[in-house]
Formats: sequence, C-alpha cells, structure tokens
Amino acid sequence: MSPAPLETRNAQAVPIADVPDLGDEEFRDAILTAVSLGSRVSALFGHPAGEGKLRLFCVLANDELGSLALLSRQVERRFMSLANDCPGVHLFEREIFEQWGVEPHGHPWLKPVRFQPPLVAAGARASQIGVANFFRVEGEEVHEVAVGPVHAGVIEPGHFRFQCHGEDVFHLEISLGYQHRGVERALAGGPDKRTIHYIETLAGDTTIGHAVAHCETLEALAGAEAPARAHAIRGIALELERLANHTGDLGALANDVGYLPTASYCGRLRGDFLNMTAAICGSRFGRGLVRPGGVAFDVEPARSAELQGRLARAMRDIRGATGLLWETPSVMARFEETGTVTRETCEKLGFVGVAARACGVGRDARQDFPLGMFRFSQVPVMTWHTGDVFARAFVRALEVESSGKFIDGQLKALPAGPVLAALPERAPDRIVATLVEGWRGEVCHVALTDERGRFSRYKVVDPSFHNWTGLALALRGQQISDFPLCNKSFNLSYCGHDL
Amino acid sequence: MLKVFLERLRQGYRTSAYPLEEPKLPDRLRGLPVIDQAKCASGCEAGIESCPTSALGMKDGKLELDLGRCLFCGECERTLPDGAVRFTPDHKLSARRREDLVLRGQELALAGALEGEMHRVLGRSLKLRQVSAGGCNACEADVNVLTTIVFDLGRFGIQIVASPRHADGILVTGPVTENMKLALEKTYAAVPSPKVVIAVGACAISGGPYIGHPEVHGGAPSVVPVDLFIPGCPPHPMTILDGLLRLMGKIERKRAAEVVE
Amino acid sequence: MSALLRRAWARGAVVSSAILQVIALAVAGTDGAFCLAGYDAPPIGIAHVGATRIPGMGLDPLGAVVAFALALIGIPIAIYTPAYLAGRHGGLSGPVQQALLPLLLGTILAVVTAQNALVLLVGWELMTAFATFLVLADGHQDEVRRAAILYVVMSHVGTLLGMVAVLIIASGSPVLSFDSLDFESLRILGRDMGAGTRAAVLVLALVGFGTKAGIVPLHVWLPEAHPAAPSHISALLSGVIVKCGIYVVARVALDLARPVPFWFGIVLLGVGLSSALLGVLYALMEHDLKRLLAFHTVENVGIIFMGIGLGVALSQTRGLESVASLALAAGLFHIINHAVFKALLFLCAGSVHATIHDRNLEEMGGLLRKMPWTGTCFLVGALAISGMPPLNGFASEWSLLQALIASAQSSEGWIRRLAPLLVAGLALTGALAAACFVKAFGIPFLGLPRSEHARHAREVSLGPRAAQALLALACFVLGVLSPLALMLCARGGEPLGILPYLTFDSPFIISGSKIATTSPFVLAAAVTAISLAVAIATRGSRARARVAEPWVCGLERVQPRMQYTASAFTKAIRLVFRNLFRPSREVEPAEGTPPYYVRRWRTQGMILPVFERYLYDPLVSAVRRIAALMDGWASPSTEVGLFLTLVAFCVALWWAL
Repeated sequence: MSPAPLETRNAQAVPIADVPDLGDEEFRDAILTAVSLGSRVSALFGHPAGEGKLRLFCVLANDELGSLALLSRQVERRFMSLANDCPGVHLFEREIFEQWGVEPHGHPWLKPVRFQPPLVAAGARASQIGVANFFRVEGEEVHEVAVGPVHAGVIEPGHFRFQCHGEDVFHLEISLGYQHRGVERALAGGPDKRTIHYIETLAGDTTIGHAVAHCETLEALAGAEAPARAHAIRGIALELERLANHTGDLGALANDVGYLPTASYCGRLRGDFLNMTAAICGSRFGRGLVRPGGVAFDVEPARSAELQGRLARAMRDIRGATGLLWETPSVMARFEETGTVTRETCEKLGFVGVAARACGVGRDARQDFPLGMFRFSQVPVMTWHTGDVFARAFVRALEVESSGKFIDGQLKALPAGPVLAALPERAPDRIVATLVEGWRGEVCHVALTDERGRFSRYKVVDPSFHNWTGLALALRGQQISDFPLCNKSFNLSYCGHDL
Repeated sequence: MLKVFLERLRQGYRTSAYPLEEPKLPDRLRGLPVIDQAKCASGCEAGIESCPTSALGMKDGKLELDLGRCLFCGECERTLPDGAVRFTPDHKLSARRREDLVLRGQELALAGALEGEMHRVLGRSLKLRQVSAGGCNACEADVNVLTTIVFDLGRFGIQIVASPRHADGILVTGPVTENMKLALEKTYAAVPSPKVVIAVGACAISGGPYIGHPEVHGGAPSVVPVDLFIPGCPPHPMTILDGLLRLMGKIERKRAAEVVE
Repeated sequence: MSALLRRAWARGAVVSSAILQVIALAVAGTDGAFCLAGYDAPPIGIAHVGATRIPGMGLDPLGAVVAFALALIGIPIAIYTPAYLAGRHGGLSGPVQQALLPLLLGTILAVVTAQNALVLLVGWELMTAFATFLVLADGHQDEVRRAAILYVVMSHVGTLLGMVAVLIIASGSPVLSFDSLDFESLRILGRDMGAGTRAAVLVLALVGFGTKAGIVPLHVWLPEAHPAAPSHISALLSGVIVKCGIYVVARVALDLARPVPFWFGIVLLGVGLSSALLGVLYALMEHDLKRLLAFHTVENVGIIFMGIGLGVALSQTRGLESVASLALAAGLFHIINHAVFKALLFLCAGSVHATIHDRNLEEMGGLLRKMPWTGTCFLVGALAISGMPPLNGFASEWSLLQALIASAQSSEGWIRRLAPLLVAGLALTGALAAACFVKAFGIPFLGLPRSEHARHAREVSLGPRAAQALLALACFVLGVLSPLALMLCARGGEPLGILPYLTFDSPFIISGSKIATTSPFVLAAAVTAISLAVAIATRGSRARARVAEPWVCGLERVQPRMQYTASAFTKAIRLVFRNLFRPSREVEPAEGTPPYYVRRWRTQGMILPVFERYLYDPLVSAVRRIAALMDGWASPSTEVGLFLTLVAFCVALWWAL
C-alpha cells in the first residue's frame, strides 16, 4: 500500500522526512486522483537530492477542505510527463527541465520557460532568448505578428507571437524570461540581509503579498506567531495593495477602450490608495512594512482616523468612476464576450485569482486557506460566470468594494499590542508551504530548510505562473486589436513569472 | 452623458501645482538621506554591514552613502548610531553624474539642465521611450503614473512615445538582465541622435538588490551612456518628475535658494 | 548545323520578325492617328495597296481607335519579345511564335478595317485561331491546354451567336453575296428591321461578340486563358483582342442595326457596371498576379461599355449631346488607355515571372530593390489603372464620371434615376481597383522576399526594360495630352451616329458647359515644379540620412513571415462582400493535445466561384447529359441512319420551295 500524501495546513512547517517519497506510478496516480477529486497543483518543483538525483516535490491544494497535501518522488534523467492528463502542471514540468535538465517524457510543449542558465552545473544548456522555435500555423495566407520585448507602453518586457489571418488570431504563443534575475538561486542559503529585498522586489507590485507569504513562512519555521496588531496591519496593507492595483487595472481597461472619464479618475485614485500605504510605511508599494515577526510601522489612532477619512472619500470616488463603465454601451460592447475563457479550461489548467473567479470558480486563499487576520475577519469571495473581459473587470470592481469594507473595519478596531515580535530560531529539516491571496491571485512560497535552519531551497510561485496560459488561450479566435484589452484584463506579472 | 458630466464635477480638479508649489508628500517618506559624520566617529561597522546592497562604506575615515545603490530601506537608520544617517522627506534626488550620487555629508549636486545644442533641441519637448530591462514593475508603475492627471507630464512637454524612432531618449528601469541586454542595445541604437538616457531606480543605476548576480549586468551604465540618474526603490513619482524637469531646465538651481523658471 | 549556328539563326529570325512588326505597326498606327484626326490616310498603309482600295476593307474612325491602340502597345511588345522568348524553354519555339504573331496582328487589323461582314467574320475566326495557337505556346502543360480549349469553345459559341445576329440583318436582302454583306448594304437593311428583330439582333450581338470582350457572366475564360499565355500574348489579348470584341459589338449593334433603341443603352450601362464591379471584386481576391490582371481587364471592359452605353443612351435625348459625345469619347479613350497600362502591367508581370518562376503573390516580396526598373514601371501602371492623375487612366475615368454626373440633368427619367447609382458604382470600382493595386504592388515589390526565388531575383535585360519604360511614358503622355486625345476619340462616334460635339479650348484643359474643368498637364507641371523647387532648396541639407535596421520591438531580426500576406490585406473587403464571395476556411487542427497544445495546424481559405458553380457547371452537365442521351441515338443501325437522312433532306427541300 503506497503511502498517502502528507496532509498539512497552510503555513504549517512539517519535517521533510515526513513527506512520502513515492515511486513513478504512485506519484502520478496520487496527483491525478487528487486533481480528479477537486484538488489542484499549487507547486511542483525540483530539489537536488544528492548523487545526481533530483527530488520532485508537489504541493496539492484542496480548496474545499482548506488543506494542503505534500508528496515527492526521486528522478534521475527523465520521468513520465503528467501534462497530457493534468494540463495544469505543464509549465512546472518545463521549468523543471530548464532548471535541472530532467526531461518530462511525453510533454506536449517542451519549450524554455525563462531562458535561464540551469541551477545545476551539468544540465540543459541555456537556449538563446528570442531565437526560439515558435509555433507556426501553416498556410500561405497566415502571417505572424511579433510584439515585444520592448512594448509600446510603459510595461515589462515579454514576447508575443501571433499567428494571424488578417485581423483574426489563430494562435498566440507567449515567450517570457526577459526579466530573469536569478531570484530563486539567490534565495537558497538565506535568509540574509538581502532576502527580504528579493522577496519585496521579485514582483514589485505584489510587494505586500509576497512579503506576507515570506514572513508567514519564516514564522511557521520558527514556530512563532506575529502579534495580532501586526496581522491587522498586514491585512490592511494587503487589501490596500489590492485596491490600488484593481483601481489601476479598471482605469487601464477604460483607457484601452477609449473611455477617458474612468481612465482619468482611476489613474488618480490609484495614487490615492498607494499614498495610503505610504502613509503607513513611507513607501507607496509597501517596501519596508512587512517584516518577519510582524510589521515595522505602527498605525496610531490619529493616523488611523486620517486613513479612514481618506478611504471613505476614495471609495465614494471609485464607486462613481467605475459605475460609469457599466452604463456605457460602447464600453460594454468591447468588454462583453471578448477574450472568453471557459470554466472548464480554468479548472483544467488551474488558474488562480481574479482570472479564475471571473470564470465562476470561487477560488480565494483568504477564504480557503486563511492566514493572519483573515482567520477572524472574512472577506466575501466575488465571482462572475462569463469568463470574458467584462467578468474580470466586474470581479475587480466587486473586490474593490469588499476590500474597502474590510480595511475600514480593521482600522476602526485595531487590536492593541506591539507590532513586531522577535522570532526564535528556525527549525531544521522542515518543509513549509504558504499560500497568500495576493491581488492577482494565489502566491505560493515553499521553503525547505537544511540542518542549520537555512533555506536549502526556496520556491516562489507567483499567481501569474498559473495564469499566463490563460491569456494565450483567451486570444484564440479573437481580433488582434482586442489583444491590449485582454492583456490588461488579465494583467499578469512578467517579473513574477521570470523571477 | 449628464451622468458623466456630473461625475466629473464631483471628482474635481486634481492636478498638482508642482513645481510652483511644494508637493504634499507622506511624512514617513524616506527621501534624501543626510549624513552626520560626527555621529559616526566610532562603531559604524555594524550599520555598514547591515546595508543589503553595500551602499554604505568608510572612505578616508568618512562615512559614504552611494545613492545609486541605496534601496531607501532604512535599515542603516535603524542600526547606525542615532542620527548618523537620517532619511529626510526631501524628494529631490536626481543627479547628472554617477559620482555625484555618492554622499559624504555634502549637499547633493542636483541635476542641471542639458547643455547647448541638446538644450536647444530638447529643452521644450522631450519624447521618451521607456525600456524595462528587467525591472520589478514598481519603477514602471511610478513612471506610468506620471502621465495621469495628478502629475500630468504632458503639460511640461514630456511624453512617453510608442516607438524609439519617435523618441528623443530612453528611460531605463531594471537592472539590465542578460535576456534584455540585446533589446536595450537595439532600442538605444534605434533612437535618432541627439539622444538622452535616463536611469530610474536603484536597479537601473547599479543593479539594485541584484548587484552581483550573474544573470544581470549591473544597471544601464554598463550598456549605454546615462545622462540622468534618479535613485530610489522605487523613486517617488515626484522625484522622477523633479529629475525630468531639471534635465529640461525647467527648474534652475541657484545656490541655496530654489528659483522656479 | 551546329547548335551555335542554330541558336543564332533562331535569334535572328525572332529579331527580324520583331523589326518587321515594329515597322508594320508604326504604319498602322500612323494611319489610325490620321484617320482620327480627320485627315486622309497616307497612300501607303493599311487598307490601301498603292492607290487601289482593297474591296471590303477601309478604315473609319471607330476602327482607327483600336488600330491606334494596337500600334501603341504592339511596338513595345515587339521590343519586349526577343529577350522574353530567349529566356523561355519548352513549348513552341521562339521563331514559330514570332511567325504566328505577325499573322495574329494582321488578322486583328483585318477585323478593325473590315467594311464587309464576311471579311469581318473570317478575320474574326482567324484571329481566334492564331490567338489560340499562341496561347498554346506552353501547350505541354495541362492547365494551359485546358485554358486554351475553354477559350476556343467559348469564342466559337459566341461567334455562332454573333454570326446569327449578322445573318438576321442580312436576311432582309433577297440575295446573299459578297456585296450584299457589305456594311453599307447591311446598314440599309438594318434601318428597316422591326422592333422585335432589332432587339434580337442587339442581344445576340452583345452576347455573342461580348463573350470575346469578357463581359460578366461570359468572362470565365478570361482568367484562365490570360495567365496561361506567355506574358506578351496576354498583353495583346487583354490589350487589343478583347477590345476587338467591344469593337465588333459596337459595329454590329450600334452601327449596322441603327437606329439603336434607348433601352439598349441602358442595357449596356447595366452590363458595364456589373462587369466593372464584379471584375474588380474578384480581382481583389486573387493571389495569382496574372489572374488578378485578367480580372481587371473584365473591370475595364465594363467601364468601356459604360462609356459607350451612356453615349448611346444620351444621344437619344435632347440637350445633352456634348455629354453624350464626352461619354463615348471617354469609353473609346479608355480602350486606348487600358491597352497601354494593361500591356505595361502584363509585361512587368512577365518580367517578374521570368525571374521568380511563380505567379503567386505570397511567394514574392522585396522585388523593388532587386528589379528597380520593372518595379517602377509596374508602379506607374498601377497608378494609371487606379485612376491617379495625371496619368491616362485618370483622364478617361474622370471624363466618364463627369459625363455620368452631368447626365443627372437629363430629361429622360430612367437616366436621371440611374445616374447617382452609376456614379457611386464607378467610384466604388475605382476605389476597389486602387485597393487591389496597393496589394498587387505592395506585396511583391515592397517588404522582404518571402521565398528563395524572390531572394535571388534579377532585373531583366535592356529590351524588356525599354519596352516597359516606353509604355510607362505613354501612360504619362496620354494623361497629359488627354484633352487632345479625347477630342480625337470623340470622332470615333461618327460611324455610330453620335456626332462629336466635343471641343476643348486648349489641348491641355478639359472643360465644358456641364462638366468640371481639369487639366492633367497643369497638375503634372505643378507637381514637377514644386518637387524641383523642394529638391533644389534642400540640396546639401544638414540632415544626414541614417540607414538602420527596422524596429522590431528589440528582437534580433525581422523575419519575412512577419509581413502582411495578400489575403490578410484584403480580408476586410472579403468580409464586407461575404455574401458574394461566400468565403470558407479549411482548418486542420491536427496533432498535439488539443485544445491546449496544438502541434500542427494548417489553414487554407477559398471563395466560392459563383459563375462556374451556378451557371456553367449546370450548363456543362446538362450538355453532357444531352450528349450522353444522343450518344444512344448517335450510332443507330445503317437503315435508321439512312432513313433519318432522307427525312432531313425532304424537310429542307420543302422549306426552300
């Protein structure tokens, strides 16, 4: 009888030795069974196990039960790919091939992920970015449109290769990796004085999301808990980040369809929310706020009252600005039925965050795997069923409302006490998986410690890692002029994917 | 239609009056750091060690802070003897030369305008192409926000354009990853002369938190000649705006007093 | 003889034939020009031998238009041919083709100088025969044979109907002889026909001889035959032979069957408009360069018929005689213009084909850099056919447009009501033609080469270059001197009873009582002057030109696949007119793990060939069925056969008596 995956909870450190080491078939069956019963793969990554072997760890998340399952297997040069049966792991397997040189045999789309040098000395050679073998639709009438890496707006670099027939898009291939900075490689051996800065900048607009995940990981490894007041402030900062980015996205969507009133107001309002975060910690993006053991800045009553006033005004303004969108037929005509992703695709490929909730899949780590203040204060999960650009915009607008209410509630009732606690030593030989609902979706950090309690491996899965495939699929059969709109409606992180 | 009009009235006029008025900045903003050499007569090693990017150093017995490497995290403020380094809410941080960014307790030599021919050609209209050479999207976001109504970059004659062929210069963010090096070089080559290069953020100036990584090239100066450095992680939009206006000569610096032209 | 001597002999034969053609055509052209100008023809020329007039032949202004067009394109074609034939292998040899070509030219001249129906029809048949032989120059290829057969069959069916039309007119005379078939006699007979008979003659003439002209829906042979022929023959086919079709329709229907009823002018207008629109729409969807040009021939034939039809219709109403004359002059001038720019385009297409060995637009690209002369001449031709001032296409289409607009003031209700529709239709045609030529010039000549052959293209030699340049120059000269040309072409209406009420104040300015004043000459002069002024003012300017690679968002290099394809360019138009085209697309998704990871994906688009599917295929299968039925009867026993012969003899005898 093969050992079952290790059941654990969010941000709970367990001994690495307890994670079952399964054989080839057992590993495969365990994952496929779990996925068929409603779980999904949150992380699948490799970690060197000595003697030329690689240990693959898999973190399965069950949203219904709110539990995580950990399992692993050892591989040498190749293993049977799961991507044909469980499409959600396709990118993880490609990443394993690129980082460690271990081939997932039978993978339907084995292409580079980040064009990075491998993490082992002897491994797959790094391929040259931009010279990849792009997929082609055959036929003399088909032409390609190649966009990027330098895009026309102020945006991160990435390459999009469209196979077009006139204005219709047959197929979109997305090739990223232009922002690969070697974060995962640098995190191993930590934490040191740079670690928190890596975490805060690996996806610079999700500073709070990643920082909270990291600090929860460290606190889980140390077996300690941050003070309640710190949790409240972390919650406020996380929701402020959500507010700022959703506002910015709604403004950008309005801009892309040429609806300038909402675009202008949201552009200003986003700054207002960022300034609220800066009022707490001095940095608009929340740099320096979340630290292991709590938060580095307190919110005194006077500051809290001022923030409540600013929040109330901003919420009124954002309600007014986005309300205009839904009542303008020209905007709705562009939004509705554009870039549709079906619920089936979403579940098969394991999308997370806003993109999933816009397809009617109510996945939200604040509700399913609550940490920090979300254990006590529920934020309702907002979904919409159509899966198009409108759904993704509308879900954002709904989340803005619920985030605003949450922040207001927290500010009015901040728990007393300190904001920062000292952390004891980290436990050795542990593995901990932490899920936090960043503003794009589920952030997953998996840390493995060595015998001294330092990181032997730190895996970061940004929500964009799951969702980039969604954009590629959403464009099939669409007009190429709708591409900026679809891209903005997903608004995925290039650097979070590239690390 | 009426609703749109009424909403506009309700939302009001929001454009900041900078540079005619000083901007309203958060009180906890970590802006220009001021070094007090006296406080660092002894025992600064711990503080120097604490800096994640090794921006702090001792040279000739004086404490040195390299703004180009500084992440403005405030760690040194906490670890050094009280007041040795103090971050003030001063948003004016930009400089024309890399060596000007190294503070030793002197006043920061703020960026002056472009000279001669460049000033004649670009002083009233500066079109920039933004190149994200591996940035984390925070500097990009804060550059993007300059085009919104609060800052309204367009009224100064500065515009972000879609193609380097339309541009007068490039605005680089990010530490210049290996994968973006060719694209940055091509973008720079595509801009017609005369051109300027502006490096925004610690990553673009020196590599930021990624200094020393083999996957990055240590900032824009390693690939293209830079005309304006704007430090920060990310720099506040007012800092970026201040730097751009100084480059165009719209704010002249006269000794201690600031005279707005 | 050794191979070297044989080659030299062949080359000599080809070149001497070309020289003879040039001389003969020069004489013919001069004759035509003199005739149009109203002077007596010089003593040596077509239709004259010494001082004796050849019986049954003579040049009148209507025929002179076509003769002049023939000379104008025939001379450059003759200059083009030797080098072109030298580069071809297989099929009919050079000397054989160059022997057939003068015969073809002779028969064309016979058709346009015929003053006798017998001479006309015999010349017509011979013209078809020689044209078919020359189309079969590459007869070893299946598709060429198919195209030639289609051409011959449709020509003959058309000729049959046309002959019936002529014979109906001639049937009025008691005696059938060479003299009774003379045009003068037929005119007298034609005047006395009843309304019903006249209607039958007109329709039969239009349908019969119009097949050769290529009006819709009788045009299906055109896009097959013209690409199949060698390019210089295609130029002749499109340039002059279809014009012979128009000429004979005009001669039989409008001259011999005079007075023409009003409704026939409207019919001609309708036929013209539908040919023009459908021709250009199908041209837009073509990716084969020569098929594209062939469809444009259909379009321009439609425009010519519109001009002639409007002239005929308006000449019946009072008060608009000058407009009628202008319309007819525009139509006839367009005969010359179309010949010139179509020949230019076909010759350039031939040059391209000679080096690329492919006619598919999707395989070309970047040819302007490799073939600058051919490319520039093609550009001039494209501008001319799109009606850009100050070239010749502009002059004739503009004049026709002016005539259509002016006809809105007609007292005749039908014309008044139809005029806006016709104006809109002509304008739409012009716009679609321009769009099509943006594609036809842009895809092959601009951008990057899309195939190996395109990458290694080479410019053609001096002969073809000179021919193309001559034709381009002709486009320009005809455009600048268009008022003069229009006045001359207006005289082509004399045989049709449409008197030339057309005079312009200056040979450089088109003006009139009901039409706008234009002067292509002034425009050309102004543009030249301004360009010169700018060039002189900016010579040695401080701005240095910098040659750099194109911006591709920071990628390493731009690839040919990143360019628009021809069908992508016309996709929007295909969608707007999808009810006509019924486009469909075949998509094979194929291997991989659909729907997410697709390994192979192939697509091919196509449009519905409406006329073939709904008109010709049923007709052909009906004929086949009848033939199959009759096959059953075709080989009866000898007794039944003899009996049937007896019955047929008795019936014929009884009828004759």
